[in-house]
Amino acid sequence: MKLLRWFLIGLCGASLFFLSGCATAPPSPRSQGPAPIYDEEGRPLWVPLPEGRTPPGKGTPPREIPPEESDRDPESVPDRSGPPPRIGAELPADNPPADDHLIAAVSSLAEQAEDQLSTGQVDRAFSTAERAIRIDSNNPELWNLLARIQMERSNFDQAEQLARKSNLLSRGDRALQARNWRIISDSFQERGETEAAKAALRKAWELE
Amino acid sequence: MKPTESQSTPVRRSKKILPWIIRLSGVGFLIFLILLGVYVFFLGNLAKEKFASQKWELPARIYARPLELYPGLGLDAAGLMKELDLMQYRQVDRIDFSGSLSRSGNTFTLFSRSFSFEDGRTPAQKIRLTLQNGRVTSLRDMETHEPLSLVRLDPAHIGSFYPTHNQDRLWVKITEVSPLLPQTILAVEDQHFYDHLGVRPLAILRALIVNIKEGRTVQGGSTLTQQLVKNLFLTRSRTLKRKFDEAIMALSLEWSYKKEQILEAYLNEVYMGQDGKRAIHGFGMAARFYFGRSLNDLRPREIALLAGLLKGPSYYDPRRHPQRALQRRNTILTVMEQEKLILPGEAETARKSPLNVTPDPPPGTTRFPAFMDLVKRRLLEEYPEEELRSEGLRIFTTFDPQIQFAAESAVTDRLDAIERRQGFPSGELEASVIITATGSNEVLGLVGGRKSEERGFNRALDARRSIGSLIKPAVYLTALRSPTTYTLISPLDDGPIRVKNRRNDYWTPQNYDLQHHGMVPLYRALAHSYNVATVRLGLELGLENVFNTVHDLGVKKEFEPFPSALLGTMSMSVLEVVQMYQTIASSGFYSPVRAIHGVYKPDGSALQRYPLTVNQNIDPDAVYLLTKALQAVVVEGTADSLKRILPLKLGVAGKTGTTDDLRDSWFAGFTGNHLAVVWVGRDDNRPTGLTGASGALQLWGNLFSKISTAPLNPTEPENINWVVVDPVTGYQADRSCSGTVAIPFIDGSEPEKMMVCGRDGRPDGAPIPSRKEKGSKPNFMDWVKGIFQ
Repeated sequence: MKLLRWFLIGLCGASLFFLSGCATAPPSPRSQGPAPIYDEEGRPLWVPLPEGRTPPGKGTPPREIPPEESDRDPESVPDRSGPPPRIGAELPADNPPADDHLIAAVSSLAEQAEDQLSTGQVDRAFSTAERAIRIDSNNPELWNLLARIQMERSNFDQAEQLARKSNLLSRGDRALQARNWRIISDSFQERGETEAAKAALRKAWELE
Repeated sequence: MKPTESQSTPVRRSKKILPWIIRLSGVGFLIFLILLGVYVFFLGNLAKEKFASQKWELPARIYARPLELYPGLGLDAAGLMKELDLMQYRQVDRIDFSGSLSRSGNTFTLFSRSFSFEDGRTPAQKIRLTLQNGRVTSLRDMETHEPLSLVRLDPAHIGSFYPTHNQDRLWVKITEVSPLLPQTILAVEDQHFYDHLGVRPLAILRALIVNIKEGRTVQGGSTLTQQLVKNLFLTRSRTLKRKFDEAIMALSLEWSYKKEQILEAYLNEVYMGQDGKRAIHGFGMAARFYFGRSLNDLRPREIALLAGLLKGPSYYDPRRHPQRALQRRNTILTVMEQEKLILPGEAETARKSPLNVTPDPPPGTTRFPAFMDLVKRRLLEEYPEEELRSEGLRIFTTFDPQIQFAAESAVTDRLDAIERRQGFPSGELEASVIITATGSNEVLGLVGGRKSEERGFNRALDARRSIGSLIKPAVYLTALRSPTTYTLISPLDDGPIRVKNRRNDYWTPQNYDLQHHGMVPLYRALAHSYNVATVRLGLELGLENVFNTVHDLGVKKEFEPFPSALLGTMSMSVLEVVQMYQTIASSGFYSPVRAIHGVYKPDGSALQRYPLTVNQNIDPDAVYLLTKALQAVVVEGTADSLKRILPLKLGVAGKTGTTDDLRDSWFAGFTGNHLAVVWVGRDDNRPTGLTGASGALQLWGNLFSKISTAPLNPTEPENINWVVVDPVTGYQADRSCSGTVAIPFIDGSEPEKMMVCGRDGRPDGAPIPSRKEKGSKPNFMDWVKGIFQ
């Protein structure tokens, strides 16, 4: 163990010549910087500062700042009775209550698109589903419908992407997510990506 | 020679010559006949061929998106009226023709027009809708009194691409027009159309006699076929030869074609009026031009007016000479009555009715040149210009007239106000705006300059300006894509930094307020647009990685690898910025910006569709965090003045941008369903004295205050956890701590240290590792440090 320690100290010492200090240790594999910048002729435009700080984030103890230095917002007055403010905009519920009217307009179009899809009018079905999306673009069922239509058109890449979009919007709806993963799996299968297809199918099973 | 012979010569000669003359003239006549026959044959053939190969150059017609009405739709009365006006709907007391509306307070009764969409024909329909608090609250069919869930109106025609000869024509098929129209035309122009062979010699003779008696042309003996031939193939000269040619060609056409084909050609060819340089041809276009309606929606009285115009479109011009036109129309109505095409009672009512012509013809030039410019550029990528101008294409766009009007008025209103405030002479500032639908990535409105109706420099597409801080979201997004390294509360150093320049000197980026802010949480550095912290972060991430993010966001251009790019020195057009923010607004799913839904041939078949496509270019979790930070820009950052214009609960996410010496003022922002990017500056690129907030943001806010838009409640991916933290230390905080804030984290990136607070809300002792940390592995840095401890 001691040997290893000395080896590392030696290694670090050697790297001092190149990096001007241990503090600028090579970035952890997941981090994407800092990298020096060079001009076209290879001359360095910028190199990490010798006294540069460690990358922020995990494992970095945040610097303690005395309260008087803090630039706390006057709005964030302690209110320990209620929940603390969320960053970004404060919005009531996660999802606003669904609008019955909207559903009526959209569902009539969705039904029409389903009819067109089942009678082989795939282009028209797609146009109709797009009309519905224009009215309610956050409706995961509509994105799933578009994904199915693209499957039918053998447009496998788009089928996958649209199913992913549907998945993002269908938070909590496991049945719909499972249907989307099945589309993703099928689209991989069709493109010959068997492993990815299997993985997607497993996701569908987990949700079913 | 012999004398006897010589004496008798004259008589004998004449006796001999005469038969020769007769013979010769006989031969001559025969030759003439043969030549004539050949001439006639060739002329006839020519007419036949010309007619067969007749290329009807039809302008392309460009339509706005159709207005879809449904209960729950956000719609205000003024916006609706403006769009209906653009659609050439006419306000009347009682709706009795399609294309009319009546209004009583917030209740609108519409008699819609029929329209052929890709998925079939929508019939004309009488509907009633009621608005309340900016929404459609009820929608009913006026005939059945049943509630309706959805009505699609006919789209506004927003422009045309004309053939070079400027003939405007809307092709109609004889089988698809109401039989009353051809019947009326024939009753007026050519009662024996179905009996003659193309010419009526007796009629020509009669006309000739009458004309000679009167000493001027009062009567024309031409059949409809002759009129068509004259319009199609011949000059307007009145020579006998032309008359002859006309007759031959008419006979030839009749020989080779069916009456219906000739009639259809006539209906579409005939000259019906003039609008500046634009010539109106055919009944289809005439119906639009005079009544703002489709031919099939016309009533008998309106058909009578059009049929009456055939005699002289300018002499009987109903707009310039309403009295003449009225008399002429009534004459035609009487003919229709006599021919039993309409009932006497109907004719009587019709004769008493006003002309009902729209006061102004629908403009031949577009009111929206900047948007049309975008449409045309997109089309020219795939079609030759000639095809666009002559194939009669129907082009359905994404254009939303109500949004466009709101954007235009936001530009003019706010620019005037800003100029007054800044002490600029009027007209000094310019602006451009693009607004899109975030769900489908469609351009809804586009303003290329403050004189929006003039064709000119299209700033939204062609002006490329430094985007300033609008680049910053890409820098922060690059960081947030590495959740193990960066979170929204990662402390960033805003302390002074020197960056080595190309010329061996140093660049020292400054903050707008010329202050340094020490260590700031990442989201706050973005919210307040701190330059120094951003440059340091960007260099830490690597310029290449930041540029990769910009490319993933959909910007297809390369950038010079200068550190100053981190502060947005690169130039982009409004359209390019729209594309970049669009991907953020749709949770990391990239779709190319669309202005066109589809291009259709005159027969209704699709030539090309531009379907909605999506591509998940960036993980939605990172985009979610960024969106929350962009909302913080409005809640507590550089765009907080938006709160004075729009309700905070709209949840706008956006970013201000200001360039060196206050030359360009930008704002890019989005709500739940709309995104807009606004640029304000000067054409000569001199300083404006405006920041993003004092210029572009004002226009943006004004625009969004005029439209119906949904609050932004970004979809939270399932791997997001909200954690209460102390924003200063970045520790997880106890409920009892003061000044805490809830921050979203991507699974596994939550802070590890927990702060426990005392009764006073202040930290109570040293932070303790949170439950998460106990099981987590130490990272490389900890391990290296451990070695030296």
